[in-house]
Formats: sequence, structure tokens, C-alpha cells
Amino acid sequence: MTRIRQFLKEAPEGAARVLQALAAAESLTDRIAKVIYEIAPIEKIPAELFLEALHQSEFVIPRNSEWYFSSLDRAELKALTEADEGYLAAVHGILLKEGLEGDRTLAGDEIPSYLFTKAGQAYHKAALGDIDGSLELYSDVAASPASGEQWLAGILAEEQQNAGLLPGYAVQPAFLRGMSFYRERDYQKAEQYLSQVATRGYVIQETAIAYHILGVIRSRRSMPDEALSLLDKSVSINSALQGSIGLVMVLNSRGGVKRDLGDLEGALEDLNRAAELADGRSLVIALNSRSMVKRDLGDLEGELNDLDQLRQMSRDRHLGIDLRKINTRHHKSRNTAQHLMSAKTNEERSDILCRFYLDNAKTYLSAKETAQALHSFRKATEYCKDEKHCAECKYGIGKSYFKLNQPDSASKYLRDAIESGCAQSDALAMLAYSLTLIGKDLNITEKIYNDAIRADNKNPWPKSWLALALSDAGRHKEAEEYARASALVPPGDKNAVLLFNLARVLDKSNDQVKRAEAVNFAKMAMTYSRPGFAWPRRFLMERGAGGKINKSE
Amino acid sequence: MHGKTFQIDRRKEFAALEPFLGGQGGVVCVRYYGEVSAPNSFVATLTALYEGVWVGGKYIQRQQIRRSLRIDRNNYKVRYLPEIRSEFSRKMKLDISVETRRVAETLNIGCNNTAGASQFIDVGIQYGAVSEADQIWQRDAWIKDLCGELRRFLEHGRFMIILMHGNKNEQQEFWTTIWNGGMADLVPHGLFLVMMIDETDKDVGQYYNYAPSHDVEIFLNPNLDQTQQTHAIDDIAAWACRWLDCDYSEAYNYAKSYVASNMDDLNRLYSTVGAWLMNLKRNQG
Repeated sequence: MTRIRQFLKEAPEGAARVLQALAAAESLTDRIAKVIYEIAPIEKIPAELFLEALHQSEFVIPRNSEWYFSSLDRAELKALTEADEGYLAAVHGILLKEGLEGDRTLAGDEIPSYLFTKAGQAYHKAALGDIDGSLELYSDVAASPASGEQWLAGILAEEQQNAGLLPGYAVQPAFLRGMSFYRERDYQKAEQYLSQVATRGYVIQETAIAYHILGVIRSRRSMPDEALSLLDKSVSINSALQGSIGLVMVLNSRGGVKRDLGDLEGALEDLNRAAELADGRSLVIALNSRSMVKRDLGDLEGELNDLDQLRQMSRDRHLGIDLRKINTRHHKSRNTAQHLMSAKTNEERSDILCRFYLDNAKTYLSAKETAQALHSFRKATEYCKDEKHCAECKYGIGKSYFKLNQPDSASKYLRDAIESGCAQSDALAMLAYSLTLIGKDLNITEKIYNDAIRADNKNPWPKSWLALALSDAGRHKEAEEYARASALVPPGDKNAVLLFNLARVLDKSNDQVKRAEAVNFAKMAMTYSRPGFAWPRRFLMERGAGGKINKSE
Repeated sequence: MHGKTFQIDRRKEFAALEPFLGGQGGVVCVRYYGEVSAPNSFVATLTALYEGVWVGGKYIQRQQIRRSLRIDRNNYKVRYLPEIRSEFSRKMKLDISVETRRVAETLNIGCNNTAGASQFIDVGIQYGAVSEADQIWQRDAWIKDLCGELRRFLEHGRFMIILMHGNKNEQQEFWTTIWNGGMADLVPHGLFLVMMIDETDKDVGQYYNYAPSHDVEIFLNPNLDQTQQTHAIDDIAAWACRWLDCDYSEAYNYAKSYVASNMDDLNRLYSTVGAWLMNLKRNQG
């Protein structure tokens, strides 16, 4: 039996009716609960006793001067059939009136604060049958900046749509829920809800934003083609609606995706259009993206113009412009432009541009913008004249492919780089690892790993990757030596991946002591890991070792 | 809720909390076993006791200004950082400047999950137009301001934060941004943190990953031992005396019979005691 049923079984007649009425509110204060109670009180029971009795029960949850029923308990109470419709309408009417006319200074202390929000008013309007008024308010909440109210509006609107109070065709509930999940970075649930909005096909702002966000999520998942198709739909709806803000934002996003896809001319077209329509933050985004596209296209003067405009706008600190980054880029591009002006020969100009794009590519690579890095390395290749720079470009392209998980292309360019004279330990290590990934034999890769170790004995990666390969081949003792040598470094240099690789190697041993040690190293890896590196946790869960971290280990 | 909450036993638990209820800062870990331990009643009583004292069944405000804030992801007002800040200010009766509101709108960037990032900011960061570091700097400065306000409040008052149970993702923002962002330093000044931990959550072990070490740990057991039953009978009888037309011995007998039939299930005992008393009142006429 639920605790509500337990309470009602013991309580005098009339308690169910009052509780059902109280459940009409998302949250309550004693003052408002008393007003509701007094509409139809329980015979011989004063309001004060009823409230004391409620507060003692476990289904009333305190909330910083307010209180509420949990969502499950509230659903159970709303499903009761004790209160008639007129009584419930009177309760909703009181609550709506408090929100519209009540003293706002009492919000949260004596009057539930949600009643003063559009979300709360939309909720009670729908309950009173004013569906258009309700949907209008829910739409207003959806269009406002991210807030807890938006989250609440999504919960309330979805509840009312499921109960049949809001019509099935209304997109506001799914839109509000989807946007909340997106803002909380739960992209999977955001996609579920926003797809519901998009597939309705209405030519309204919500559909345009839904397609936009779905496109951004696909772009984040490195699915640029799908992202582009969704953003195209958003651009089309935004254009039909003739609203500039949404259009600017989606043009910015589409410009970024086109840039990722290497369509620089297309990106420039979108960003030019966005910059024409934009102001404030959206203009910052447009100018910043456009300046990078112009640089990638070799239009340094155009890039400098956009950067100058950004520098001027940075005086408004609420725009959040990172002036240091802008100045660094400005300085580099201005110097390059000046050198190009004073260059006397084409060879000299090519050399300047090659160095410029190489420098850009390295910056992108360190910022983990690998697609842009790849593009810049390719651009640098166009101007490359000497062997040293050519080898550097090939190495950069190979490394970019390596980071983009394309071992086939990576191995081709890394081999070319090595043959062109790049003898870096990293290049050899990545080549060997890429060859391992595409199924090449250990006989081939082991030699390259050893060359990498000889090139730089302090580089831990060839040792760590070689250890994995040796472990797979059953050569446990050697694997363990290499894995320990790579991972057991001073605390300041510890790396989660290297530690986890050591755990994997030890875990393959038949020795129970070493397998226990593997669990400890996986725990240590979890201590040093970044949020996105989930393997150590999975490893521990599979072995029943949980997720507990002991930082002293 | 003041004056509407009364205490049924839990003398041992509240005795362990006495230094903090008296105004000392600290961190307390409260472990419970789902709803059978009746955690909501405990929190309601804790809040009432912290903000005031009970003397002879009456609630008397403490001389020192006392405030408390319950942080719970199911409450829209404390789900995201800007609103948490507003609630702190509301509790301390401070006005938030327009400037703070503007900065607050740009917050919640750079955290893993709980984020109120606007579409603008999110897209902006994705394409490198808006500096995430700059947003984080603004957020940290804003938390520093809040800690400054709280520290000034603690010069003449006391503040309790109750952090309700939640998983790592839900609580990460609180620990990384708020607690480690400056609030932990306020414990010696009188800040009191209560961590509610539901032992029935399968991921409860994760708590060790991010929660600070505690000064006191208490357990909310789901049933009453012999001594606790005696205390509960006393408390319920005292409550019944206030509402029923009867003397203490009669109320004691009522209470004894009620506790005897509910002592194996604390959740039921708490959930139905009010209903039971109302029924007695109504039957008395």
C-alpha cells in the first residue's frame, strides 16, 4: 500500500478531497494551503491540525519555506476522484489569482514562488480551460533565457499534455523538455524530444530551433553531413518566418559546419549573411568564424578587418570576447601580411605562407580542432617548397588523421613523413599504432616501435602501445616491463591512458596478484582521467570493483 | 514550516548534532535507507530546530539570525547556479544587483552536466567566439562574491546548507563550483553543511569521490528500538494532548497503542500519525 493510501486509510472522511485539491499546486506554503483547505474543510478538523498532520507525513517534502508532494505522490493524489470539477476549478482559480495579483515580495515565503512565473500561470490557465492563453505563456518561457523556470515549464506542460489537458498537436511541451535536456547536455534525451517537434513540420520558431539544435548535436558528434541537412531545414524555416535572430544563429552554426566540411566558400557566404543581420553576441560569433574562414582562404586583410571589429566590441565585457586570443591572432596575421608585402620573390611569399599555415595548424591541433588543423596542414602543403617543411606537413596531416581515428590515411602520411626525413619518435609510434589498428603483423610494428623508443627513450607512448601489442601476442613479461616503464612516472607526469594501458596489460596475466594490481592501476587511472575517458570506470565495473577512488593510492 | 513540525524521537541523532544546532560550523553526513527511514520528516525537524528551538512544545526563534537552504535538483529554484545564487540572497535578505543578474545569465559554462548555457553561448563556444575560460572566470568571480556575502552574514548569523541525495553528475556542480569555489572555507566561520545520503542508491559509493570529509556521521534507522519507542510514545502523547480533549495518561495510552502497531515501519508511522490524530479528534466531536 502506498503511503498516501496508508494516510487516507487512517484519516477522517474528506481528507482525500482536500489532498486532491492541494495536489493542484506544484508547490505550497502553509498560507496558501490553508486558503485551499478552508474552501471545503474536514468537519471538526481545524486547518492548523490538518497542516501539522501533513507536515508530519513523509509524502510532504520541505522546500525552503515552501513544500510539495513528490511527482509520484502528486500523480496519485491527482488521480483521486473525491473532489468535483467545480471545487478543483475554484482551487486553480485561487492559485492563478495569487500569481497574477499577489504580493511578489512574499514569493517563496508565504506564496509559492512558481505562481509568479509564466510557467505556473500557464499551468493553471490550462487547468481552467484557457488553452490558447496557456500555450502562449509556455511559448514565452521557451523563448526566454535558460533557467529553472524553463525546466519546470517543461515538466508541467508535459504532465498536462499526457493528461489530455493540452492538445496533442501542441509542440511546446516537447520543445521545453528538449531544450532543458540540451542545456543540461543530455543530448540523447534532447534529440528524442526535439525530433518530436521537428517532425510535426510546422513552420514556426520552435521547429526552426529544434532543427538547429539537432544539427548542432550531430555536428558535435562529428556527423557533419547530417548536421548540414538539419541546419538547411532550419535556415529554410527561419527564412520563411522572416525573423532575424534565429536565422543569424543558424547561419553561424551552418557556416561552422561547412567550414568543418572544407566548404570555405559556402561557409563564407553564410557568415557574411549572418554578419549583416547580427548584433551583440551573434555578431561576435559571426565575425570570429568569418575571420577564421577568411584566413583559411588566404584573405589576411579580410581577417584583420574582422578581428579589428572584434577588438572594438570587446569593450563590452558582457559579450565575453577573449581579447587575448583575438590579439594573438591579429598579431600573427598582421606580421604575415607585412612580410608578404615586403617579399620580393614568389618563393619568399610561398615560404611565408607555408610557415603561417603550419603555425595555424599547430594552434588548431593543440586546441583539439583537428578538422581545422588538417585543413591548415593541407593549405601549408600548397606553399611548401623545402623538404623540411614538406615532411612537417605530411607529419601534421598524418597526426590529424590519427586523431580523427582514420588509421589507414594516418599510416600513409606518417610513412611519407618518415621517408621524407621526419624521424620523430611520435611519428614512428603513431605509424606503428596505426598499422596495428589496421591489422598489420607484430613482426612489422615491433621494429617501428623500437625505432620510436630509440629516437626518444623518454617518450612513453611507443612503450605503452608496444606493451599492448606484446600482451595481445601473449608475451606478458616483456609487455609488463614496457607498460610499467611508460606509466610509472613522477605523480606530476601521470597520465590516465598510460596507467589504464598498464592495467590492461596486467589484467591479461594469469597471476592473481597482478590482476589485483591491475584493478588498483585502473582506479589510479580514474583519478587522473578527464570526464570523457570512461574506460577505467567500465573496466572496474566489469570486475565488480565499483567506481570508488582512493586518491591516496 | 515553523510551529507545524514536531519531533518524534530522534533524540540520539539530534544530540549528535547539538554543537551545530548551537551555531558551530561543520560538515555532517546523514545516511538513510530510502523512504523507510523517513528522511523528509528528519529534514523538516532539522530545519525547524536549526532556525529555532522547541521549549515546552512551543517554537521560539533563536537569538542569532538563522537561515537554511535545501539544495535539491527537483526544485526549479535551486536546479541551476543563477537560481541557487538568488535563493541564497533571498534567504539572507539581500538584493541582487542588475549587474549580477546579467553576469548570472552567462553562467553555467564549463560544467559537465548541469548547465544553463544559452543557445548563444553554446554555439559561441563551439566555434571559438566566446571564451569558455572567460565565462568560467566570470562564474568564479560571482561565486567569490556570494561567498563574501555569506561570510558577512556569518558575522552575525548562521547558515545551514542541506544537500539532498543525488548522483555524481547532479552534484558535481555544487562540489566543484560552489563548495570548492569558496564555501568550504566558511565552515570555521559557522557554515553548516548537511549531506543527505541514501544508502539504497546503487551508486552511493560515488559519494566518496567528491564529498568532503565529515565531522559527524549519523544513521536514520528504519525502525525504533525499545528506548526510541518510549520516546516516540512520549512525543506523540504530548502532541495528542494539544489537540484532543483528554489528559496525558489517556493520550499516552492512545500513543502507546499507535506506536505498537507501527514500530516496524517508520515511514508508515510518520506518514499516518497525523491522519490517526485527526481521526481521534473528529471522533471526539
